[in-house]
Amino acid sequence: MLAEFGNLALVLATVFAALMAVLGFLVNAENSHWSTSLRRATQLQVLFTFSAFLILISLLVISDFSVAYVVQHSNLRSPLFYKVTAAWGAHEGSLLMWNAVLAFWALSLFKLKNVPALLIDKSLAIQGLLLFGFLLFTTLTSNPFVRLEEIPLNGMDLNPVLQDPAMAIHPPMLYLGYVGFSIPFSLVVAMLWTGDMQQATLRWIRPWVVVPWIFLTLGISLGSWWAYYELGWGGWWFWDPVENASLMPWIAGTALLHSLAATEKRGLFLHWTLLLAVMAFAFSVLGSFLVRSGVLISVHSFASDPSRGLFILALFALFVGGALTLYAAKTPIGFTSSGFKAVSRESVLLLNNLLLLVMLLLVMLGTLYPLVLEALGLGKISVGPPYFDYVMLYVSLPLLFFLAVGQRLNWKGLGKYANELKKSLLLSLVLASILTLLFGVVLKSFSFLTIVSVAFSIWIIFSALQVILKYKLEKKSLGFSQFGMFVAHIGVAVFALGVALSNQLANVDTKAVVLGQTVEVGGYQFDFTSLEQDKELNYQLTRAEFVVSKNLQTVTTLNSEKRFYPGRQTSTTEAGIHGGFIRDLYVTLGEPLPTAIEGQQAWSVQYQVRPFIRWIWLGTIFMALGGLIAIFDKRYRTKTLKKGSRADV
Amino acid sequence: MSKRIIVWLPLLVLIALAILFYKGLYLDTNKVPSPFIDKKAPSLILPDLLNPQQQVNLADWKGQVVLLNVWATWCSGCLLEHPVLNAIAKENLAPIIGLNYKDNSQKAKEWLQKSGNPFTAIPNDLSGEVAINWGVYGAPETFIIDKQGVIRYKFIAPISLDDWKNKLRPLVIQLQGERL
Amino acid sequence: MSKQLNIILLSLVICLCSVTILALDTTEFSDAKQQARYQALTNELRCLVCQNESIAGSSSELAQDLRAQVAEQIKTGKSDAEIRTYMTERYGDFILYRPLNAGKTRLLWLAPILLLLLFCVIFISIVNARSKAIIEDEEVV
Repeated sequence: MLAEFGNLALVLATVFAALMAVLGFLVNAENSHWSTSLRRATQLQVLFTFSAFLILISLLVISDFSVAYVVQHSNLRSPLFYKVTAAWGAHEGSLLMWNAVLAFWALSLFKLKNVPALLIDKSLAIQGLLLFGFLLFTTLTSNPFVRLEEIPLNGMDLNPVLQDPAMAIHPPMLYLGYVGFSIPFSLVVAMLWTGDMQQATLRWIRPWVVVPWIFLTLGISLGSWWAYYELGWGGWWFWDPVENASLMPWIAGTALLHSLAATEKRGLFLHWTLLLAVMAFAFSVLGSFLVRSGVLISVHSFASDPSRGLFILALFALFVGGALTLYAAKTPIGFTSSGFKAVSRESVLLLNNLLLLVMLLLVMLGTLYPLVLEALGLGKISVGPPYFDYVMLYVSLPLLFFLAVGQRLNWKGLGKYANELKKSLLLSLVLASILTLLFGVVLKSFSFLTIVSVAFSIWIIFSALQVILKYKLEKKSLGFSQFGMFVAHIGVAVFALGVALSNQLANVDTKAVVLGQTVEVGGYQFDFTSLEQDKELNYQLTRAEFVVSKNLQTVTTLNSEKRFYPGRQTSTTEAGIHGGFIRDLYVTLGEPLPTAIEGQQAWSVQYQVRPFIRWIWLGTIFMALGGLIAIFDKRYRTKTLKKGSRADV
Repeated sequence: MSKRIIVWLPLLVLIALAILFYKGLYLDTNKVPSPFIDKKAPSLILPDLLNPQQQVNLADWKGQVVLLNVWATWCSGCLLEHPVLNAIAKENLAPIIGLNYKDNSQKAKEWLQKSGNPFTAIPNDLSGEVAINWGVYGAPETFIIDKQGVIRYKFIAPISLDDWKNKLRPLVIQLQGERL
Repeated sequence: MSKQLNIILLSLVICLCSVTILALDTTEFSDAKQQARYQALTNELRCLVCQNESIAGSSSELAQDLRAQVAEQIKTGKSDAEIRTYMTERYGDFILYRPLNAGKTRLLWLAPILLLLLFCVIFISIVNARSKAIIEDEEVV
């Protein structure tokens, strides 16, 4: 019965989404009574979408095996937590969550004050159109409430690799980000539609760019963190097409954050900012297409089906095509913008956007090139990590360099400040270089590229700290927006340090070992002390214990497990990790080997010492934190209501 | 003026992408085409599974169109394909050479005894080295080799009767019509 | 019907390799340089069975065989280029995670430089125009 209510909620949600779009089209400056109905329709739409999603969760919790989705992704023995998270563990459920998040963000538009009400109404219309498209897709091709004729006694369980806390919250975070970009998208389309393009509006929507960006940053970071400790080989980014698909909207969103600053404060790059707002969401939908259609070979793909692919492709082409047509026809070309000097905040923001665009294009090129060649009948090729690692250097080094300088520049130009800034930057550069060289001497092995990126990163941190300290000493307030910016930039530097150092200094060794054997890697002794079989709620496991010591002192005990999940007949590897600020110790139990050593069963075991690897995720946390600080700036919190705008409904 | 044109550029890019993805939807992205198509077949000389003293040499079939099927009992697709191979063998259109790929010889013999033997000869590739030389990456795979000993076609996946009737059979007949 | 069966079978074959089964390769060389070359090469060759893994990380049979080939060829003194050629002759360019800097994939390697040059030109022209706008503003004042 519950599944039927789910279906009903889905259908009603679709109907009200259509109603939102229609009412939104009818609204105009003269008759505001449509506006009231529109907002009621939106509230009901959100209610029904949420209901559908909650019903799916309930079905999973009560293990209603008459529903196909529940059978495929849940099991009686699963812990409650993973019964709930199975709601977004596969294609149909995650699509329903996409809709729920889309509805949530539509509702958040009610909170956007100080923006002309007509603009909000038109944005709600666009949001309704998006919801209608995606809900139609859900209902017609991917309905999670489909019932089975024969009811099995138990389900197949959620994919074991997804049975992990980080993986469980990774998709909601990611979706809050991806789908959050629908708000700048809708608002910009509404601005183009109504022709009402005030600089002030762009300022008010800034938090609606920053918050999705924070979620996306954390979501991608969580995914990478998960890959690091769950997949068991210590990698954190694989340049897999689906990872790239999540990176592209992030790069577009990051570019948007920066160009928006120039547009809202100086009226510059307006049409570029509008385009980026469309692009950030376009890349989100594109990512969803790439994951769900199977056009690219990827580990993360949901089961592919051409009819589904075709449907999302149609949605993508219609939504983005419509927005871009509107953009091409109505973007203000003759918009007079103010001038700026070659060395000014405006020019570095421009540089930042151009470099991020190059980065975006390179990721896109590498990801899609094999598809292009194949579609043209020119054969099949692969573009993998060696390519991306190489080309990213071209963008990341200039980005780091200009970031260290750029974050210190003023709007319009330097003026009297020039000399002071030159001295200050030179000081931090010299300090950063000395520190890098000392570091290099202590650690001995350093490549030229590592030295350069480490020096630039430390320089960024120093250059940011100089300002923060100066304000502290002079007892002046820096402002949340500025402070947030510096924190986020320190995050970029910490991230870059993590990437460069963990890459350069890693010690990895894979050995065939027997119980009791000690292996030395990177100055640490790993002693294989025990091996046992065990059983948990929904899996069986083999656990190996390693005692790690350095200079005869025990550092830690690591457990690595091989798990077998009977529900899905698959096994997973759990690495044993000892995290640290300076280094991670990482042990992975492999397979029993056919060869025996001195009559004992040998196992393959991978030992890793990875210095500074945690800084990668620490950096992303700082970036997100910076964003969070920035939205508390008082410029976005003015409570005064302008004429024509409306209070909360 | 030029800006009026530039603002249409994103739309053009989108249209190009949409066309690309539309084409991409109907490509089989998981199959890797063989670089051997229209190239001379690599040498294949291996002991016969059923008669280990005897060497099977593909070159002995020169002048005939040959199907080379890569199979093993550990490959579930191969087992499903087996009845189709039996049917093909019954037609007596072309010899099927069954390259037994990294298999347990005993199990392979038992399987053939139980389910019938469609193969004219069964080169036994225990180490998988010959298969690597042929660019085999999974089983079942079926090569069609023409009279000159040139690989003309590679089918990756279990052959269904439809595949045989609509794709492979017409090609074999066409190749048989070619002059030596 | 049979086509559907085909798809199911194919996906079965593909599902045989799962990201979760980790290959830990214990091949050892007496020479550290050879070990490093081996690691680098096996990480840059794509496994055709589990198409999202390098042959270094894949636990499939084919990956094991190809790893053994790489090890043997390194030991017999073959160069990296020769080993790559050996692989592409058999499996095509698909096996290379590092696309060739030649022919149809040259554009990939030229892209970063071309894009950076193009964007430099764009940057300079915009900054030029904008800094002129300041001077005009001041003249008007």
